[in-house]
Amino acid sequence: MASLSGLTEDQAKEFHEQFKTTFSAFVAVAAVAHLLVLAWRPWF
Amino acid sequence: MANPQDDWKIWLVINPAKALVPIWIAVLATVVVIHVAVIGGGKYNFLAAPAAAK
Repeated sequence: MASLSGLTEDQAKEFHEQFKTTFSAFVAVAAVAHLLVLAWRPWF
Repeated sequence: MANPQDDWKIWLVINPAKALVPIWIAVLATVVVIHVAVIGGGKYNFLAAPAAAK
């Protein structure tokens, strides 16, 4: 059965793996940035 | 249906070939808004920080 997006389950799972990797890297960079700001000027 | 193990199913609804760039644009817009708000707030104006620190 075709999905709404047109992707197969395998394609969706394959893309999601890359999406998780990229998003995890984004969160890691944001976490480091927040730690630097916290060291610079604590907000609590 | 449970998360996060079923998160991948979103791509059965949203086609990343069409949606990924709009998602990036939305994230970028959010980033710009947050940085403008932070810089505007004064305490965290990292652009004027050296002048403020003197």
